[in-house]
Amino acid sequence: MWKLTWIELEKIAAKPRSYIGFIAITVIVSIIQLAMYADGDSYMDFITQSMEQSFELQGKMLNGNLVCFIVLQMLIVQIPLLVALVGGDLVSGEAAMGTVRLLAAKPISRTQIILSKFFAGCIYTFALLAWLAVLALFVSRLVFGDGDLLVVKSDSITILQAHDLSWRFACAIGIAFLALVTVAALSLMLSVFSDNSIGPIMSTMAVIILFTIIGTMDVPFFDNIKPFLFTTHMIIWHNFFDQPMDTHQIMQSTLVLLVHCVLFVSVAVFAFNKKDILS
Amino acid sequence: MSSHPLVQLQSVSKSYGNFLAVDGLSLSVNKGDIYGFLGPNGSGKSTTLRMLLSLIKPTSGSIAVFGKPLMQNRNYILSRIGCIIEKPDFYRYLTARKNLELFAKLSGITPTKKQVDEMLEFVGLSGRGNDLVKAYSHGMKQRLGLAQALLHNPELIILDEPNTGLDPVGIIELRNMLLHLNQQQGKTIMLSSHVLPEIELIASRMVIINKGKNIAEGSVSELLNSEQLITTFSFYHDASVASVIANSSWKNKTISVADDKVVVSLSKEEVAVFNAFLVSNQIKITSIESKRKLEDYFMKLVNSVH
Repeated sequence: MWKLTWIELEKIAAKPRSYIGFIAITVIVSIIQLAMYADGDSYMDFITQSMEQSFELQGKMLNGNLVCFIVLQMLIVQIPLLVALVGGDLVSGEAAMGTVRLLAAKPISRTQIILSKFFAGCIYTFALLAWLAVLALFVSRLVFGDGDLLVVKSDSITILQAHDLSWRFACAIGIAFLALVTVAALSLMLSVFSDNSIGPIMSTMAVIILFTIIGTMDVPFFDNIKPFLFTTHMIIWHNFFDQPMDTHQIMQSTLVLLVHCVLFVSVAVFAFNKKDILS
Repeated sequence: MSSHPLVQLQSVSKSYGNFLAVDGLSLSVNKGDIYGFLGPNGSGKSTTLRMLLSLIKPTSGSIAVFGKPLMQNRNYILSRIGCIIEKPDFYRYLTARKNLELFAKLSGITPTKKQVDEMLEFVGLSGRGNDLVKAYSHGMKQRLGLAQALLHNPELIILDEPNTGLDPVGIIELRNMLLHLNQQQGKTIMLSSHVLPEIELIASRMVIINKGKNIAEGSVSELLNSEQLITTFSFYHDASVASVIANSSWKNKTISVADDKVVVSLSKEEVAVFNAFLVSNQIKITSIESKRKLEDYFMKLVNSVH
């Protein structure tokens, strides 16, 4: 399986579209960092102005940890598109190119083909997030320095001490990885049903947008299904910056995301095994 | 050649909804054969070859390759088969060499650089291995496809329309390569083609299918020897020839008569007898030309199935 996964990684690495994600992350993070570097104090004044009458904030609030937190908030929503760009192409790209015929005529099971593609997709996703972490956390800390993190919510503020942050960022990126792997699994599953890449990529984004809209609508009718939508749990990384942390909610979200992953990959394996390769 | 069946299809059918693409097809390919697979477009050739490679599952019937049922021994069987299906598609963003290495690994071997170089040389692509496949012409892709099919040293090679897109030189080179593989390396080759004379030149056995059915199968020489030869006898201008033939038992076998030539439909044995008949009637023959066209035979069979 590792050999097959490595072959899939070689193919991903050779495709120009695989680098769009890395370039996009680099550009977006750099822009945010530049903006913070140039006018971060104004931004800080803006987010703290509502609490200045109640609190006196001292110290350097604009630091690498805050910039990283801002980057994560902005990018976690966009990265699924970058993951779908590669995940949606994994099987349908082979069909469009015609190589799926050769691939499926080789002495490897179709289940192995799908699983190796899924694992390769996971590794690609991990690489994207690792790159994001390097840029958003380590570069930001280099440029802006270390410090306590001010987390402002609509109904509360939390200040987390600098020495208490590294593991929180690691866990947040870990659960964000699981959320993005779910997106990769969804796009892989849709990719099995299509002979071109555009369909699965667009469909993945459409599903995410639809589920996100349902998740944010304050309609009682949707309340019963919201806990079962994977998009509801994609923002659970945020919980690692709560004090106290809701571990039960984190465990529940992890479970829901895992179940979705298994479901999507199982459907992909079943459908690909049943499929007549006609392309 | 051994008569051990390497590939055996028994009453294989494949339907898509109400459309029956392959209808109870049975055939057998022997070890050492170059087996021609003929049929007009949409006759079920590609569907059959895809079923042989487990790309498509038959609706009914059984397929055995190397004496074992295909679906139960899929990986074992496919590791011993090399193929080009429909057209040779590769990862366009990889080099030819990388493509060969990658597909060889999927076939269970890790080729050395020397093996890849030798294979590229065998198919006439030496020096082009490091080019990206997107820069390749169709003919080059066909050659690369053959290299891919051969690199893991398979016993059975399945080629779907391998001549498509090749120029005349490429067709001759491919034919020579296939003959070399069959005669020098003992490979069994199964190929479909719409270039019927090509099958006549290369195949030892063949099947003709139409509307998913086997309408003729056997050795190429057997099938063709059962056919009449269209023979043209040319001679010096002689106005009496028409009446000589009209008054003989050959008139029913005559297709056309002119003052300088007569075209007749004869069996192989009858050609010499008719020649003797003309000579005995003082007709001075200048040439005899026989045509035995697989195309005619093929069309006759195809048109006979409704």
